Amino acid sequence: MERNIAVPEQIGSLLAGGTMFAMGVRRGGLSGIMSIVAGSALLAHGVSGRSRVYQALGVDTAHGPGWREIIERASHVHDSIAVNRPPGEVFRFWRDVGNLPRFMLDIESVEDLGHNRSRWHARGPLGVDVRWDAEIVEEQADRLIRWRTIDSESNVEHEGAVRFEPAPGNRGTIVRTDFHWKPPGGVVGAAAARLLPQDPARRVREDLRRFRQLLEAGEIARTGPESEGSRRRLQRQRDEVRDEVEEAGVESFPASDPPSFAAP
Amino acid sequence: MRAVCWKKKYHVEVEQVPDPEILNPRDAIVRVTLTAICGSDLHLYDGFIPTMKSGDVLGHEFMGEVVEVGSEVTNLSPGDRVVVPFNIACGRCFFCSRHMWSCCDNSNPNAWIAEAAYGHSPAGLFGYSHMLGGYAGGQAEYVRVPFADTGPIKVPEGVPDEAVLFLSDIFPTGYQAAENCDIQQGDVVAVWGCGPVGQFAIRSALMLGAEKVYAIDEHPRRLALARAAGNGNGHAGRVATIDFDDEGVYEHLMEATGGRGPDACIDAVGLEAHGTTIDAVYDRVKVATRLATDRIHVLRQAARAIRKAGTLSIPGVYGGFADKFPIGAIFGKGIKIRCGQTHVHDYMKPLLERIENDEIDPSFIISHRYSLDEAPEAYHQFRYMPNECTKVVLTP
Repeated sequence: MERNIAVPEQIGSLLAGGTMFAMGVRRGGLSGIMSIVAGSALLAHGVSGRSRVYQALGVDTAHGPGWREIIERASHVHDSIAVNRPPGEVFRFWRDVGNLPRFMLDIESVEDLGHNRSRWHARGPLGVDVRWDAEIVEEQADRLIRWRTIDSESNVEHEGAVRFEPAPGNRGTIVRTDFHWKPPGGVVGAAAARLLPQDPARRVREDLRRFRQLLEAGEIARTGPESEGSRRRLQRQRDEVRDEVEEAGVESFPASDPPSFAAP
Repeated sequence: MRAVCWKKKYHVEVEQVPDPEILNPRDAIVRVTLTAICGSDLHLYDGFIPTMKSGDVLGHEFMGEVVEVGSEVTNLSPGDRVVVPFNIACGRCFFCSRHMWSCCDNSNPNAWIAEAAYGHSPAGLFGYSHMLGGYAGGQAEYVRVPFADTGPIKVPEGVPDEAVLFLSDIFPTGYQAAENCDIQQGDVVAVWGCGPVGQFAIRSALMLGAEKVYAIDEHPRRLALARAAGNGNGHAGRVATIDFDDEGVYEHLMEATGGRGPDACIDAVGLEAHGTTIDAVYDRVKVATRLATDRIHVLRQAARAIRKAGTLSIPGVYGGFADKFPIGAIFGKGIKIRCGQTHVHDYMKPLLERIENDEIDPSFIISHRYSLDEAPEAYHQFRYMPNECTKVVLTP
């Protein structure tokens, strides 16, 4: 039988099994014997790294995703979108790096420095400014653009590739993107990025949707304040009331003398 | 401006909201001169459509005067009188370029919600939930109309608002429902639901050559309005009605067609179907306990009555999941199903011509006229007095 128990689980089983065994020996009696039996089973689980029960249940903790895979999943986003325009046009739009902030929501600006280089300014997670320089390392007209960071004052390492394929039947272009990030903080940073409100995969999806809207419709669909209807008005009223209360609070209630309604 | 805002289930109010502004080059602002409450607005009223937020501006049937256009709108100018399609379409995506306007790829800013629910997002709609765009609707003094170079149709002076307003939704919706039936000369068509869409489906089926139309409902005035569809246009006697409270629909249709069944069936009811049969009660319990979202009593009845290899056309709105879907009857009888939101853009011009040629005056459907400020009362009437109230228009 092949190993089907992961090393951390083996160590845990040895510790728990040993403790139960020792307790059983000290306590004696029927409950002690039961503890010794259970402890022995756990010890065997830990020593062998093989479990017939797991095999029967189809469980395998030894061959799950490793750390490497978890990092890879957190810092790599692949996506694709079909655009109803010919590959040449779609390629040219993306290649003009000044267009990128128009559909990439996190990117504030991209400045073309010439010689395939560009300077990026992004709004990172939690509003942190992130800046780096990037270089196009591979380019095939109408087919592929690949780039990576060459100098980053914010310690962000980024690599990206975008491919342009004619859609079957010449029905536009299929755009395929691969983005890799090495966020500051390595594994922890990558894992944390996944937990942030802007999940990178979601963000890329929305960016690509806006990219398609720009190329096809020439503008990005959005709604104005009237779409929030009376919610907006109510919010404003609430804000006004809060401002009034805060002003009143500052003026009339010194910190040492809280208003009576603040008492429990 | 003043607008009709959805507050919560069974509750709308007229409130002050910000005036719309041009946001994109292809936008226009329209001053609404006439708007209507759609039967599908009642699905919102009844809380059947998810992702509504308190304060959302309702309304997707409206017309008015263009007051401002974006830099890229060259076909319209301030002062033009327009009717606006209820679905918002960019005109240039894969779907729009194939005239599948209601499937536009680019008009829903909240496409991800619909994508999560349906796999793909349909076009954005005016005033019809955040899942379908979160756009402010037309039951208001002003509306921002995106892609105004693609959707709105200019209407000539001399044709009254009430005659052309319904080009925005229910007339094309009823017409597409009938067109989807691929009606052949001599066909028998059964229409479930004699609300506004059903009424237009009945008249459209006659225009498209149906020999006989059976209209099914329970409200005497709606049934009478259906019978009147054949009057004065050479279709006299071609519409018969069935009151589902009084008789078995299946038995009636079998008797009428010698057991063959109608060649095409139209479900102009949708997800809030009700009835008194066992399966209808079962649906109510399922939906009330959230084990299903849509009541499909009409679909089951239609699938059973329709002739073999017939076409089942569904203009009625469905939104989620249904239980006891009659897939056996549909498969066993080789039934074709045609459905979806209406591709309004394609129908406005030809149907405007029919109105101008006096083939139909869509204002026949209007039973109640209110001011915009009376919207809460209007919704209440339309919802609770279905016999008397067939269609409500509101003037801002």
